[in-house]
Amino acid sequence: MNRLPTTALLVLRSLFVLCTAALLAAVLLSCGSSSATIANNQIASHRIALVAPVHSAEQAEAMRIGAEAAARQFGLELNYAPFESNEDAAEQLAAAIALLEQGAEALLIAPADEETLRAVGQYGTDRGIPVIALNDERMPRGVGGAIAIDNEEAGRQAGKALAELLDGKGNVALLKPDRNDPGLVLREQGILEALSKYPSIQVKEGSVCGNLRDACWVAAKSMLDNERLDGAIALQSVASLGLADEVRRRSEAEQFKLVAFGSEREQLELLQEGVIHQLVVQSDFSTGYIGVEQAVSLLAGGVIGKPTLLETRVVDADNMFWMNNQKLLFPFVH
Amino acid sequence: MKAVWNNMTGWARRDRGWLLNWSIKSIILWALLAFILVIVIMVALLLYGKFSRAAEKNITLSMQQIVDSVGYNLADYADGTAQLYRAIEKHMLAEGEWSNTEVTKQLDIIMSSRDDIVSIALFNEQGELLRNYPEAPFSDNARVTEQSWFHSALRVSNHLSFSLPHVQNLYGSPYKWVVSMSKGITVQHNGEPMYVVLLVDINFKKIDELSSRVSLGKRGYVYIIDEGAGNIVFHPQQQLIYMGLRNESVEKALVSQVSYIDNVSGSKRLNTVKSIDNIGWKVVGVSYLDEVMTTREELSRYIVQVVGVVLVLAFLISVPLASMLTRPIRQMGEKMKSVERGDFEVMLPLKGPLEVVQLSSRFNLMVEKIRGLMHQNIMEQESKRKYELEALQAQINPHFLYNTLNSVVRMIGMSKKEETITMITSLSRLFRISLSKGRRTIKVSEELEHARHYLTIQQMRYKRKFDFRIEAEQEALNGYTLKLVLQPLIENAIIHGIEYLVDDGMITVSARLEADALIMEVADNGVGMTKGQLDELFRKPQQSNAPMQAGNGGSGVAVRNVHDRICLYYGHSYGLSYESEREEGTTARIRLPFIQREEEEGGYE
Repeated sequence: MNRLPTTALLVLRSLFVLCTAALLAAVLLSCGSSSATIANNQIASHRIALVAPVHSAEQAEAMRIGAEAAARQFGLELNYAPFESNEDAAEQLAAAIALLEQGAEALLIAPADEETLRAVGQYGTDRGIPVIALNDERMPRGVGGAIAIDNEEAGRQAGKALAELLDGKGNVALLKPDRNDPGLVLREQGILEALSKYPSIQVKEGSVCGNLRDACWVAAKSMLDNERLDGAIALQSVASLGLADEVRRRSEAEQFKLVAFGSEREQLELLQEGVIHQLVVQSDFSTGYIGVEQAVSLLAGGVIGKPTLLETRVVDADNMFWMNNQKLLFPFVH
Repeated sequence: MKAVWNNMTGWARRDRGWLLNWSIKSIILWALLAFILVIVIMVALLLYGKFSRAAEKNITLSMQQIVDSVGYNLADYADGTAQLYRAIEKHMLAEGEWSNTEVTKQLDIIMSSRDDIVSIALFNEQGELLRNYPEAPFSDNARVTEQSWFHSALRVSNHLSFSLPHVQNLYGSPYKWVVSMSKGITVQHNGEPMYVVLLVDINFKKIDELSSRVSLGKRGYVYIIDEGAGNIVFHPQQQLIYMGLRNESVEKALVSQVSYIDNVSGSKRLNTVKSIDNIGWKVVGVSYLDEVMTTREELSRYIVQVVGVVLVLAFLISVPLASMLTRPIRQMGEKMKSVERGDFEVMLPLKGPLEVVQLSSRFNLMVEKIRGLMHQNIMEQESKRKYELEALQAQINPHFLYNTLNSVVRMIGMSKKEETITMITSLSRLFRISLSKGRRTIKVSEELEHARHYLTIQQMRYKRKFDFRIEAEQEALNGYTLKLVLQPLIENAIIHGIEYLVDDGMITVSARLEADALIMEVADNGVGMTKGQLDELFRKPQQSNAPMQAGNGGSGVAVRNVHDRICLYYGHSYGLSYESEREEGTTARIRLPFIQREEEEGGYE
């Protein structure tokens, strides 16, 4: 009668002892592993790659500084791929793929064209790596976030600035890019929308050019040859340089009102010289910074969904050295 | 009430059962572990509190030190540049002449000694350039009079002022970030007093590097504000602030002197402030308190590890300790088991802890007692058997048989046919009841029947010298009694009471119930017995193995036998007692428990 309960009891007791021992072992193990994870966190932080835009070294540098500031704040490692002026989309894609192969956990890219962005996005999808587009509103498959300026608003700012420079009357034209970029299309729409509010301003047939300053100069020359213009807006910084060259050649800097986008050193010189009258400026530092911020959020499992639009600011020779604008126009202390 | 009691005993039993389920070893083990755990946890909590407070204090302190040292460095740097400014001022303006080669040579020396001077320029009150060094083409768009350094030089004369960092726009590209030192001075130029503004631009890079390299934890940083208006001099995220993407609330930093805690987008930050008086700036160090919490977490993790290790060690130590403490008890258990198996010769060694020794000696005593009891039991069983045998022997006493048969022969000789039949019938009945299928107990009615036959035979033998009467209560008849208890008493009554009586004797046998006890009496009106004779009846025989003697002596032994048998069967509260009065008669009284069912047969028959 006593036999069975005693055996059961023994079994129970030994089980109890075993369980407790196992528990203790588990506690110890978890301690060990948790300390290991701390160590890991301290040594190997996330690696994020930044692929710079092509054909715009200064913009790229500002982006890098912004991204580095954010990386430092979030405790990340930033790998950066810059480009020479003769390199283009193919080199950019290759550099992006190389960075991903080297073990980047998130990729920020200011794509040269849609094809590059699409390819990088596909690559990211295949490997589960978040990709964020900079200076581009497009979010094809695999691109988890996009940071761009509010192109339409920037266009409106430019259009309004030109109209005010011309006191609301005169002939104007646009020097447009030769590639199909929805951002630039929006920019153009914004400009036309703003100009349409000034009935005395005629928008004449513009011209088109690519990424080469000389080509833009030629395009500007033919544009100015064809029409008698009082002002123009260049949609890209290279176009504005080409246009400025032609204006200078014609010595029409005083009369011809030029509004441009960008904040390159040369553009700022031209602004001071009075060849360019207004610049619509974006903060590339902010683009880089927010890009890293979004990468961190994506890595943590967040979803961004739609492009982030940044403000732009209109700068002229008078206010370019104002406190608020200095840091925007001259991001580097050297 | 009863239910409650039952419940309580039930509880007690369950409680005891629960405790009994635990061996002493596990109780010691777990108690020890629990005790160590409690102590370790208490110590750990105390240490944790102490350490984490100390860690926080250290972090606050080290932050203050870092910010202070940044402040001192900046102040030093500002002092150095101020001295440099004075040197330039002395060399350039002492003579009231700034264009000669002497001055240029002096400036060359000063410039070559310092690489952080970007440019030196001298303006008149109208903002026109008088002299600049190095001599670079002056920008048309400089708008000197609109510059803040020019304003502050005009506002307070002869006071060196530091501007906020700004992009130098006097010379065009490269647009360097500079801090402008300016002062309005009245000098004698060409014999006339002239008010001039001396501007020395120093590269902001030094200050920028100094500030951006400071790290306060992983995410912490340092920023510098202008104490006058709260403008940001340096901030690692200055652009974001200007673009409205980030906020730095400088209001608190402006009024605060040492440190304060604020809360920005959910994370608590410790702000440490240090004023740089000579330049009018304020260094603010920002560090995130959740990083301090990380230190605390690491600490708590470490403590958990220590607790774990201590527990395992405690476990490893308490297991052998507990088994060592309980070893004597286990040994005792082994011995007890062998007792259980029937080995009563075991003895526990009297060694070990005090309680164990006490327990062992008690155990030894107990085993000894059990041994004694068992011995006694064996003896009792033997006695029972012996008495029974003796009773039977008494029954078939050859003397009685001989006498009876003699009487029968005599009766046949006297042709007393009827009496002979009665005698023989009684004798046969007597023996049948005596045997009674070997049972030890028989019904009272049977016992009385037996007595009747015996009396009948004896009556005839003694030629009706006595008469007898048998009385019984109806209930008493159904009771059970040891068999053959009345016969020796009757025999005794005849031999000692009636035989020597001159008159006719009378023997009364009765059975009745008296408060759960069955009383059977054999009373005679014979000569009675003296006290000595009564005592003699109950005296233990000298030799227990002496067989019953024939004749007179034998009945005494038989009476004693009756008493002993009753005591053995029913216990010492029952038995035989005598009352006797000389010349009046004797009453033998048997007191038995009233049992209404047949007793189980003993195993040894």
